[in-house]
Amino acid sequence: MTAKKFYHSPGLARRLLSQMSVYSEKHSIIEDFEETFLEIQNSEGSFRAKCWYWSNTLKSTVGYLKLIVSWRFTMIMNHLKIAYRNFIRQKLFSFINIASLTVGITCGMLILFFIRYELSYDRYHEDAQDIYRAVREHQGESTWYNSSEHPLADSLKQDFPEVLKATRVKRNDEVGVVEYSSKRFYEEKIYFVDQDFLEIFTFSLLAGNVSTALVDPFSVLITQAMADKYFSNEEPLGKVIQINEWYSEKKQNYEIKGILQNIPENSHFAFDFLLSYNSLYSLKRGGRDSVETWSYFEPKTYIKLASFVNPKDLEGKFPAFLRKYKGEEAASERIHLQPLTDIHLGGNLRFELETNSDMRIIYMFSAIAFFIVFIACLNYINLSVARSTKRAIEVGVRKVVGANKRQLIRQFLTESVAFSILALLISFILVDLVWKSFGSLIGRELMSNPFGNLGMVLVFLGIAVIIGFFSGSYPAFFISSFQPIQIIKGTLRIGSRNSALFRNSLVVVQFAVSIILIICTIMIQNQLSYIRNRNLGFDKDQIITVYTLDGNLKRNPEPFKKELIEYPNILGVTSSLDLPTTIRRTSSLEWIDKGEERKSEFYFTFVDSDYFNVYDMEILEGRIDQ
Amino acid sequence: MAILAVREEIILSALLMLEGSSHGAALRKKVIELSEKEIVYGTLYNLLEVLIKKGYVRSHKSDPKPVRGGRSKTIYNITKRGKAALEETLRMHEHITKSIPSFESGK
Repeated sequence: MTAKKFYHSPGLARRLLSQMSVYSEKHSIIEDFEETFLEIQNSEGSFRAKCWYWSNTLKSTVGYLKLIVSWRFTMIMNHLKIAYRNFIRQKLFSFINIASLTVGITCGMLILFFIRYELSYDRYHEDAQDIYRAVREHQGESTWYNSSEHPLADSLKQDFPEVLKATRVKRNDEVGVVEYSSKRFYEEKIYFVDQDFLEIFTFSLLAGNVSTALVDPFSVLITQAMADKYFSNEEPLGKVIQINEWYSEKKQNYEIKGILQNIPENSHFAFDFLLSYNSLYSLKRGGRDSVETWSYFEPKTYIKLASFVNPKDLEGKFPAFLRKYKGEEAASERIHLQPLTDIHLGGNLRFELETNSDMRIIYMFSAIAFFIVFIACLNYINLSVARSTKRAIEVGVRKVVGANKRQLIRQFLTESVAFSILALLISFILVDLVWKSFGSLIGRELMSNPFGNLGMVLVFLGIAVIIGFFSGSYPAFFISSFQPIQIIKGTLRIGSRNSALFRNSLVVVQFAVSIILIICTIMIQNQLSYIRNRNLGFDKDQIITVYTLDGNLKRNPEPFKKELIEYPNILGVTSSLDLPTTIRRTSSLEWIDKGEERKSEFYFTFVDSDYFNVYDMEILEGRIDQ
Repeated sequence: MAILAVREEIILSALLMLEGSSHGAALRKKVIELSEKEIVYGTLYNLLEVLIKKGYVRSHKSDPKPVRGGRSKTIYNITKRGKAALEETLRMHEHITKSIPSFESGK
């Protein structure tokens, strides 16, 4: 008679019961269930009996899980106790292991924070995923320009219903002078923006009205920081500040229409003053028409699309759009919609508002973080295997007493996870200690508390558990496979030839990765020192630059220069429109070369005759007119 | 001697009523009869685990019966300590019942 025929109860439920090993080994669960089942079947019919069997199977499962968890807990406490004793007994080994894991995890954690910060750029805007910047490709050039024509924003909004909002953003080319009563400062972060600006981006207004703040010409919004700077005790709203016009000393009054919260650090542009865009119309000599022209590229154009729109579809309509406004000559120009969240990591297009980063840097750092943690894991594996003989007796005794391989593996994994969590806790402390200096190292002001949100802590805990499992897995399998008889007789030979090969390759990999990282560090170091010390074609040492808006001085700097040169410590004086490093003005040259039309773009600036002497520049050809 | 928890007390009582020795199915039936409540095997086994750990119950496997497909059943026996603990607990119950006047007068 086979067992199958013997039982009458539902087979699937019975198989479930037999999985509960404690119940079926120490108690006779299947037999007991069967007996009650048959009783119920006789008195209440087989349907009721089956119902009973199933419901009791499931209920017993719950009881079983409780039992198992309490046993597991007992075992884990025992494993931790043993781990602690071993930790104490082998201090040097434990120290090296914990230290390497700690260093690895700390580096990984710092890099992770850096990456997280870089990825968080511009994501604080509510509709960040619907905001795009229109970047342009010029005729026959392969670089993208982030600046566009003045009328682009409005035309996009007019022609395409998908474009909900559009704004231009133009940074003041020149440093401005902002004046209020007796306070007078140079300000760099002055931006002209359109009305839609506040509706596209999420910059909250502390005072003022979002929909009317930027409507009138000569309206200005200032940040909280500026409000504190210029109006320490006064209410700034409605006050009039003066900002100089470009390239002149003439002042223009602006009325403060609102106070903005300070701009978050992780923004790809940062402003202190927002001026209404139509103020430009009155500032330029030609009036509105001279601004609203398709003939030059100046502002950045940002648009907000309806959330269902695919930007690729919209881009398809742009060639016709450009032809409509710019004629046939625009045939080879293109408009590309760059997602807002890609801007910071999109590498630097020309003339970015702030220095951006690059996605490749993120990948590189991720790889470095991974390898540092990986080396720490390999180190743990190698060390654990190396001192495994010390644990052999313990394994042998446990096996003799009745521990099976699975329980031993569990023990060693518990141990390595405990180690990595301990390393994690130390890392938390270390990260907290170096946080400030880390922020200044990467040149960014990071959030004040790295462990402010619980989510991040849980993520790290998860990573630590994974690291523990990874670094504990091989030693656990390796040590738990020792034969007790060999251990106790003292004839244990560690590992077969295959496993020796595996362990050797681990060591090789560990060294190789370490050496590669060290070489990379040295290379980067050399690269940086090359950048610092390389010959730029001019001498930048011992030169002091002074910026001026003073009209008289600009028109005729000679008397001031003469006065300065009188000082024995001043060797030379020159005046110029730009510094050698800040030349931004470009123009293009077209000529016909052997019947072929040629075009070339070049940078230019205005300098005086002392310029080349002061900067010690060499003229390749030509001469300097005095 | 420690006082038993109510469910432990019921199980030990049931076991004692079955002449100190029983297999799981019969024990469960008796427990249900005594407490007038359904009990799931899982719960029963967990309680038995506790009682075994405390030394009140001992378990062993019976000889396999040919009719049952060669498989043996687990038999539970109450130990001397178990009996003593049960007696003490029952005495305490008696004492409490007597000490509460409303029970006396209510009769």
